[in-house]
Amino acid sequence: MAPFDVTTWGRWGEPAVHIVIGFLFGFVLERAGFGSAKKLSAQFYLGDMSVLKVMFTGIITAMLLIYWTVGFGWLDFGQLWVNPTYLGSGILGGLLFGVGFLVGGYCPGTALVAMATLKLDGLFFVLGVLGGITIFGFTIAPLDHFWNHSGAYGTLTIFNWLGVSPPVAIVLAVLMALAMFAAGEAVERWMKRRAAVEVKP
Amino acid sequence: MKPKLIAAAAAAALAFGLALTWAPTAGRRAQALENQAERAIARRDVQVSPAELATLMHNRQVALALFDLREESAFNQFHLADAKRVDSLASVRALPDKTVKVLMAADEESALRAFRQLVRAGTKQVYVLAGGIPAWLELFANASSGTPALLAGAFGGRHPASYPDVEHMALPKFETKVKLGASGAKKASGGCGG
Repeated sequence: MAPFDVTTWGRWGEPAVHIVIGFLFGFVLERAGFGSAKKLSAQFYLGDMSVLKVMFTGIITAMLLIYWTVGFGWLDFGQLWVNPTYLGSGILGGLLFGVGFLVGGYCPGTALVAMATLKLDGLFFVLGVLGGITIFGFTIAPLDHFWNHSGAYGTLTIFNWLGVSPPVAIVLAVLMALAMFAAGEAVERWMKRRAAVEVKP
Repeated sequence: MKPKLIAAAAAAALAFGLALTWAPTAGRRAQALENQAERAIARRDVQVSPAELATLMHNRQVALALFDLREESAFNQFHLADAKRVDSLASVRALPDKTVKVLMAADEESALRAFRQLVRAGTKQVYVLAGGIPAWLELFANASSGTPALLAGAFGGRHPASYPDVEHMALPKFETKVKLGASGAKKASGGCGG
């Protein structure tokens, strides 16, 4: 396994790695056009499926890279942190996140990208996020049991859930992503045609 | 051909290629270690009794590291002398192979979960306190209901049961689980010992 234990890279090694990865992530988001609330919220109105395509491309690229490196013996999957599944709190949190995304036009990461490019709406969204985090902090004690126990399945991967080997799950995920890309583009074309018809007098 | 079609074809080829050639070297190694760990757990080869651990704590020839996996509040109430509370297992993995590492938690199963992770990562000389802290307290503090009932304040490692005086008490018989061999014992170097 490659020596990627950043905790051993000295006092500044770990922060430096975080800054470089964060910068690259923000740069890619900005280049993908995700610093614009109009482009992001267009996903919800089915006019621009870039969010779906970029996110799914990221997911299947990471999936393929991780499992090819596991296959070559360069990476021990057991050393990777896999988030535990909390289905109930995940669904509620996802809904809240989606509503915030739709109303504000950003998710937290893209809001930071927008703020970095000096967009005023990005700045206010980030302030809103910080306010939301503060308010959420006050709910931790009364809702602690819900957040930490609702639908707790421990570490649950797709291949464990389906009872198949990792490559089979990856083939299914890639085929699903490609089908969604095709369907997404078909929806985009349909929405454009519909908009063109509506514009005509 | 459009670039996006080339990218889609490449993703599909890589996915099917992975399915056809899947031979995870590291994964297989981890699986073998995991099977080995499960066998050891089933045979109770890694569950160290409180009596054996207390004896080891008094043995200056053993490089011993104790790791407490409980919440901070429980740890502050009571813990074994020199035990270190850990949230992440990175500090356990960082220790030399020869160091005897004993994990403890509020129950045996919690410590065994951490044990499995460590063994899967290739860490050697890892053991678990049988019965967890309640079993320890039951033996050394005559408490049958665990830490909260026993201690009203935060004793940390200053309670007499944190470092029981095994030389002046009758310990129950125990089966030795920790295999010291040549690797587990400290070198008796320095001074006149040479």
